[in-house]
Amino acid sequence: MKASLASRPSVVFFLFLVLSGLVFKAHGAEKHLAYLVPDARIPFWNIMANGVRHEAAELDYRVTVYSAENQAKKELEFTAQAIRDQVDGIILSPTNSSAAVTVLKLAERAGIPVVVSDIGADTDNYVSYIKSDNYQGAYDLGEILAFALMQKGWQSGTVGIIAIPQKRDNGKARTRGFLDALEEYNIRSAGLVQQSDFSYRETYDFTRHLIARNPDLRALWLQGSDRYQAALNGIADSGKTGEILLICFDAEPEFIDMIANGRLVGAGMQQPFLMGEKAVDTMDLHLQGRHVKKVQQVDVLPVSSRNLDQWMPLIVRNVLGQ
Amino acid sequence: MTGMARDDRKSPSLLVKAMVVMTAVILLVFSFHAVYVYSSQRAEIIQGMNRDIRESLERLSKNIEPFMAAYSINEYEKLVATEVALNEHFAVVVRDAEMGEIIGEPYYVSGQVRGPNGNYIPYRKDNPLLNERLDQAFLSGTTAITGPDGEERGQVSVYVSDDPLVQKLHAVLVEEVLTVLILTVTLSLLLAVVLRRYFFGPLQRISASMRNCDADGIPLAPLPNPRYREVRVLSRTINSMLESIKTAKEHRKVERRRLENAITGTQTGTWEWNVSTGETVFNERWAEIVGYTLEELAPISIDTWASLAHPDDLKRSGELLDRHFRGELPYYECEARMRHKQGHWVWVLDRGCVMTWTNDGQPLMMYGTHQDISDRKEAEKRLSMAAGVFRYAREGIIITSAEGEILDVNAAFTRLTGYAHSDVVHQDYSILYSDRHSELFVTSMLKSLDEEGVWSGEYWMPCRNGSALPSLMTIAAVRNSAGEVEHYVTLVADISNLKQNEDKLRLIAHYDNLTGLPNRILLMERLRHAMSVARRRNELLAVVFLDLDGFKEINDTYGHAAGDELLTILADRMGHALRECDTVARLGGDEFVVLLPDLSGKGDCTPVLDRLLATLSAPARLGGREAHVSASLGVALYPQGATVKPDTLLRQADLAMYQAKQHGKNQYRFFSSTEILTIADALPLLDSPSSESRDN
Repeated sequence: MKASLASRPSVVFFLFLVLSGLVFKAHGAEKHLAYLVPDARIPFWNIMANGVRHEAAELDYRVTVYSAENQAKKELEFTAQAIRDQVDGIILSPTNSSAAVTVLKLAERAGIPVVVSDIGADTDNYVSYIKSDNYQGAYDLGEILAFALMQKGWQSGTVGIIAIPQKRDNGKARTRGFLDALEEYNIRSAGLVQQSDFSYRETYDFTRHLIARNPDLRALWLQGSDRYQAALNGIADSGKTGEILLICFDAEPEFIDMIANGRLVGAGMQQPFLMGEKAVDTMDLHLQGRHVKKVQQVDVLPVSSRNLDQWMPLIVRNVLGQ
Repeated sequence: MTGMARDDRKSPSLLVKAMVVMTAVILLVFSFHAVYVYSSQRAEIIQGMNRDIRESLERLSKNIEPFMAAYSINEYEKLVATEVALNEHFAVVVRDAEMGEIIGEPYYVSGQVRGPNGNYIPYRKDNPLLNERLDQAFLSGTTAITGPDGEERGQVSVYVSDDPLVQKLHAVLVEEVLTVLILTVTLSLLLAVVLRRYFFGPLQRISASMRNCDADGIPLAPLPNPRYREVRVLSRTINSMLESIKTAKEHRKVERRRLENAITGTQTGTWEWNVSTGETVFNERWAEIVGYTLEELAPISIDTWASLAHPDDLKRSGELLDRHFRGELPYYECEARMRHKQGHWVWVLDRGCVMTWTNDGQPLMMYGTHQDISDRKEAEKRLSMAAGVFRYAREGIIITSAEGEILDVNAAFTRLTGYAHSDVVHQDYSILYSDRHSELFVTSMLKSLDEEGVWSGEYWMPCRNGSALPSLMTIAAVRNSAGEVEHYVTLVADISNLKQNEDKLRLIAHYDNLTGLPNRILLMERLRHAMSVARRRNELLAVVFLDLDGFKEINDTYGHAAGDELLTILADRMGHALRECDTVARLGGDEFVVLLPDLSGKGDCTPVLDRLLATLSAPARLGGREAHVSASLGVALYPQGATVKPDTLLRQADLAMYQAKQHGKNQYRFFSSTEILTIADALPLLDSPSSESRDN
């Protein structure tokens, strides 16, 4: 769990190569898969859809990607459509874990196996659940931040957390892993605020609020990636630019440069492309009648200025899907 | 006392009984209360269940709608699961129309159903077992889920099983049962304590006091007076009763002694008879009446009576008993003969009554007496005979009380006198007095009755038609054992015939058969009477001796029959020629004597004498022939100077008649002592037969 940051990227990359090398034989001839994705317009989900398509093509599966555009109704309609199409398997990245339950139920009634990818489900009647190792990724981010604060000599300062909803498993895992790391490094938390509408304003206000209430605030951890600018503006508008560090979970393409130039201390980058591939692989194994693990975790890449170059190949393929 | 104590221990305890009854009552009352509570609770619970269903439906429809609109199926399913779990519903089923549209069905149906093991199972409409489970729901309700625009999005149904009802009712039942048991035990114990302390304690003290009693079970000391009024009243009442019992006991002793004395004194035999078993008890007197002792009669049973009773009477006794048993007779009474030890029959009056009956109306115990009525039967026999005499005697019989009230008369009396029975009964005896008897006669009769107890004599018994019956009457006083007159018995024998015979005899003795005129005997009586009257009244009496002249020739010529006829004619003529107060008698043959009383002087008689001479000398027709006779009359007057006897007067008249004969017949001559003395000495006595023959 707490493997050194130096060794982690090489191991992950090695595994990636092994897995890629193993998948060369087509098992999905004349078989049809459906991938239900919340919104393919979002880069993360698009990259994961690409991973699905890529691996399906590798295994000779016909795959149809249904983007629900974050609408539950569409997600259900696509589920019904896939069932009517009598697909052989469904790769599901649900709009939310609750909606996944209905999809899984409909699929189960139709006798269609489902592999869940990334967003989990409030049930377990799936073949396998492919998810990021949020705890470990957050822990690793905590270590990165602690190292940065030590370098700044701000160890006595506090860290504010702008979190995704903590009712989500991934949110809880991320918070727990990050706090464990801070505790290990004797860094105090300044408190946690939860995003609800994920708007810019919300993130900005949370930032200003945390800064205002915690004069000794030395860092902000944004559990998401898309509102990083609101956080940066909040810090700036609070007059704390250069006095408060920002670290994010997930990745945006511009994070590469921001990490490189120090505007961002680091980011925990999930590997959607890899997760999509892994989902198809798991479905394939299941359809072959082979045993698969119920829960499979994919490493989150703890990227900082120190290991950016080292992770770059994986970031390009598995994170950015390029 | 030990036996009593043992019996007491065997007998049921009032305390236990009261406890059992009160416990039963308490149980019953609280059971009814429990049933009421159970029923009301059940209704309330069902009402609550319906209310819960309505509230759940309202809540679910309201909360599900947004999720349904957002196609958040799992979210409203979680709501449903929460609702089901929180409210422990049997099932909740949601029918989602919009989701149904997505899957191509009318509704997307989801929900939760409680399985047999109590866990909730997701509902699937294609699962028959789950549908069957839904059918087992106790209550259910359905409401539409509508959006803000009023459009129906689906339905939600809530199902409730009777498990909560059963559980709650079970709890209620357990609670009520426990309450009932606790209350029953508590109240029963409390009751026991209260009863023991305030009721049975005093009762036991009273009971202990009552056990300290004499041989007859009467407490030796008065019962204690407990503190509390009710028991005190009981104690006082018992004391009062005991006093009454003691008094009654003494009274009963006296009564019993009296009864025994009465039985002994009246020589009454007693018997008790168990009709069903035949067991019989006699007293010593019962056996004594028939000459036995009880030991001699042993073994005693009803057969003892049967063996001694006269067969005829036994049969009648049985019939009377049957009638008594059937209720036709209020009591049994039979006069029966019983064979005496010495062989003769003894009459007994057998009386009895059934005093105890079995439940089915059969006689059980009968009690009665035997009285020796042999003497009475004998008296009745005699009385019956007397009654026969009374009824059938030819003599009239009058029964009179000692005070003179006529009590009864027999038929012969009414026949003899013409009186009806009711005419004389209850009347005073004096109505039978006859005015033919003097007061002296009655006084003499009563005196005789008083002194001698009997009177007998001839009596003119008045008859209803006013006549009088000649009777020979005997009155006897009937006295009781004390010698007191109880009543009189009068026998009236009809002697009418006897009287008629007497009259005939008297007629024969005093009158002449041929002419019907008084004869010498009656002449002498009347002469004496006339002499007495004349002397008392100082009047003159003329005695006329008459002899017919020429009668012998008529007799000789026409025969004695014609002579007799002539005598009859002349006798009749003389009757008409004489006064009412005069008497003419025939002495015999053609001699007659006429008595002329009530004369004031000698001259008063000459007209009569002349009429006599004239009527006698008138011709008489005898069988178509005419006969002529005359008469010579001698007259003697009375009183005379010396004492004269009747015979003397007749002799004087006879002497004077003789003179008339001597002087030419058909004339009369008065006696003169100087003139006739010589003649008289020469004549025989007047009544001498030789005198008549000589005269004739």
